[in-house]
Amino acid sequence: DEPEFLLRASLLVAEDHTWFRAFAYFGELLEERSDGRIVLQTYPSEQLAKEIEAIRMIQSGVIDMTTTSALLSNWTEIMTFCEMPFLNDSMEEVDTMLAGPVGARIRAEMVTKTGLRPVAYFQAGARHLTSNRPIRHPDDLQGLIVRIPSIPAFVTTWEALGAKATPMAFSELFTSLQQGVINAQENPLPLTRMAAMYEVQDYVNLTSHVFGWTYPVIGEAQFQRFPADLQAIFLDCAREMQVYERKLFLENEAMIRADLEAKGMEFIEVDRPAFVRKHGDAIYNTLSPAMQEVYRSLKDPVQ
Amino acid sequence: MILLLLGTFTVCILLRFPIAFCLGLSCLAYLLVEGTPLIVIPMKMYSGIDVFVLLSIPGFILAGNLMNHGGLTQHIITFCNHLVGHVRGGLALANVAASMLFAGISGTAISDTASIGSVMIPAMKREGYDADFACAVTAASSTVGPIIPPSVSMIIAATLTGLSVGKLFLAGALPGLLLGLSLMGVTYYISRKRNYPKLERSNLRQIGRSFVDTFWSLLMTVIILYGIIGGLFTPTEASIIAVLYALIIGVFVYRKLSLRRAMVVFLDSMKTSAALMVLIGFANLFGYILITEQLPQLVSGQILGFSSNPYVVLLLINLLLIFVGTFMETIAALLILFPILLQVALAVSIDPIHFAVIALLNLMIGLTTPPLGVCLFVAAGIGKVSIGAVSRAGFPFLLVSLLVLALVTLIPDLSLWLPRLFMD
Amino acid sequence: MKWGTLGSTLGFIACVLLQIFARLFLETAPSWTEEAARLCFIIAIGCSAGLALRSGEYVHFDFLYQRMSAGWQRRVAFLIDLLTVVLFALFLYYAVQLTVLGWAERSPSLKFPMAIPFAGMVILGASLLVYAVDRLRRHATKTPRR
Ligand code: NA
Ligand code: NA
Repeated sequence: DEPEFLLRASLLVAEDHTWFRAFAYFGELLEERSDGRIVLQTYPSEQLAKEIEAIRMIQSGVIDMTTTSALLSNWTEIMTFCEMPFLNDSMEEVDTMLAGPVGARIRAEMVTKTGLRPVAYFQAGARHLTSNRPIRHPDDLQGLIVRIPSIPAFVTTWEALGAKATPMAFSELFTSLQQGVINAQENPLPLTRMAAMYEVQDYVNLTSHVFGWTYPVIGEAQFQRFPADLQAIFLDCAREMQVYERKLFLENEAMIRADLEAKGMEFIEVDRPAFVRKHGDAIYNTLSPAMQEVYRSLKDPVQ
Repeated sequence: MILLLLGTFTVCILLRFPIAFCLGLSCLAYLLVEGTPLIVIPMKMYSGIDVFVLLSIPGFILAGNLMNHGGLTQHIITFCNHLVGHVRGGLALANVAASMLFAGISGTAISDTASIGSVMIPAMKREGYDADFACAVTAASSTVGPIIPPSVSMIIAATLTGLSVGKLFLAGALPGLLLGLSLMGVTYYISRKRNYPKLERSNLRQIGRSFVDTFWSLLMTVIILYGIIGGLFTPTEASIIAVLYALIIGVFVYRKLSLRRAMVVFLDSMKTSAALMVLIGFANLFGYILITEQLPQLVSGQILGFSSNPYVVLLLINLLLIFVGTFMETIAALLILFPILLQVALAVSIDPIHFAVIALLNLMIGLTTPPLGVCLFVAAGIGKVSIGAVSRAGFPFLLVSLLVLALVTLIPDLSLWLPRLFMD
Repeated sequence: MKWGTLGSTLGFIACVLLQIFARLFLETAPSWTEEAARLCFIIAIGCSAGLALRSGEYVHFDFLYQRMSAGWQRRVAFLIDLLTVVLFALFLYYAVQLTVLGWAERSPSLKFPMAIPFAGMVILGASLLVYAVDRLRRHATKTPRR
């Protein structure tokens, strides 16, 4: 028979991705601890909706959960920090930042401005550039056409670094690399592997230009419908999901690198400080005064 | 719950509701009973239409209609008559050949049946062909159009599954030609047996002159394909280039296009496109409900539980698609079934591009399969003969189409060789 | 409706042409052309959806209908038009809600409120509703449109 709360989650990743496996684990915990009062159904691979539509569907109560981050900058500007190039230098820096005032402000604005409540966060892994010639220094980018997702900050960054940035749908990526319409792309390693980039690209250049993360979210209205005891259980389970996902993520990252190497990709250590220098304040200068202030609270602009 | 959805849908279809509204109403019934917020209806309509590749559909429809207003159909038919008219059964062969050439600009088989049929069927009757045969040739050959690129159905199949439109276009070329040539073979055989008339042999000058008139439409197909395959344009861009090209040809070469007529063509094309988009939008909602109900897993579980041999799976899918194709419009069937069946095909390691060609060929054959094939109805209407007579006359054509389907199913290279050659 | 269709159709054609031109001949391709083209396209479809109903562009399936008596055909035709009105009245109502929801959201590159493209759904619902009501009205005056 029907549970008291049937939740539907729409994820963009496939079933073998750590985020999906974390949600599956979360669902088991929830059902067990709530004695079957909450049941979570998780749908992989954008089956239910693309990320932007999943957000709208949660806002209007059609479905209940998804994972999202920088896309929410369509609603509130602060979310651009979730995938800002050269903002952080490591995953640990991200953890520190999210534990501090900026993290708190992001979480608060998500609830008030987008109607979504973040209940944990998952590291997305560093984004690296792949190409057919090794890129060790920004000077090597001359004339390189890089596919980027359609995010304005990424255009700014790659053009500041000296490459030619071309926004393109992910579905066109593989064929375009094959045909030589573009020469390079940048993504976290799991996605690079999932899209079979090893068939069309030879090098992974460890640029680590973005340390991104994503929030598992539930609609605020849906969350407020839970009685207090279920709210507490829900948040507890979410915390455990975050710990579980981090463990999977770290195991996975090493495994994926080994696999990409086995498939013939060469990993290149880059002169990252040179990238940071050449990039300079390119992003900072595009921010609104309010966001520049937030930026300065995290780190000093170069000039 | 899923039964409510499918039941309402079936009843609405039978009661002559437009298919788009059948989808909308059955979803509405389901959502009301489930208590889902109804805002999901416009939301899914929006996301179904808000896809850049889909812009190419009004583009290609518009380009085709603009070309047609310059008298293209007549030019193509004249050219084919000059080319093959002198062979036994010449007009009938020209009918098939015209469909193959016309394929470059036509999106749907039904419009092909109507436009070529309305010229060809009366002409064939006048020349002494049996009316049922004339209708059967027209209906059977019109299914070639959507297989040979460019093709609205293929754009939709690609949009649904994220496959490359360019690859799909190329994949359809050889199977489409094979189907067309096979149908010409049957036509010739029957014409010999029944001693159908042949036209006078045309001289080179006549062939040349009529070729110049059709040349412009062939050039459009070449530009589109070259642009997409060469990575010069996206499919959407190619379709808009085609519109521009058709406008220029219509105004400066055929000189039949005034501003007023251009406006009428624009409006008509947008109406056709809008009807398709409303269908696509509601199908997006319908598909969403099927997924929340986990129907795709259920179907693939059933089929794969029966057998995991790719050939058996393909045979089952073929049977299902032909059955559905006989009573459902191609694009609606594609929208609902293709994503589900693709999952099954992928599970037994069938190449998705190959599978798309198989699926489309199936649905096309469904259009000429008695008793319900839509193209049979359209052709019978033009030729003023009974459905039964056209179905009987069409039997040899159906048999050959099924043979081609079997070949395309069993030999993946027929579909995959060209895309591999040009796009890998 | 006609002028809306024509204007927005020309709009998306122009946007795509601009995109091609920029990509082939200019240094940087503007990223807003695709967004603008999709916006025009949605509006064009919204406007022409109703016109399509009037000229009978929505395909249907005739098999059973042809075997009914004239009386039943009339009743079924009435039912179709009635339920079409219900469907698009609800569609319109919720499309307005969607548009309201869209005020808070900005488009990624042109930064217009998403309420604008969502309004395309309002236009779509309204245009279909108008022509569906028109068809329903003809039943009352006993001149069903063929
Ligand atoms: Na075609
Ligand atoms: Na034909």
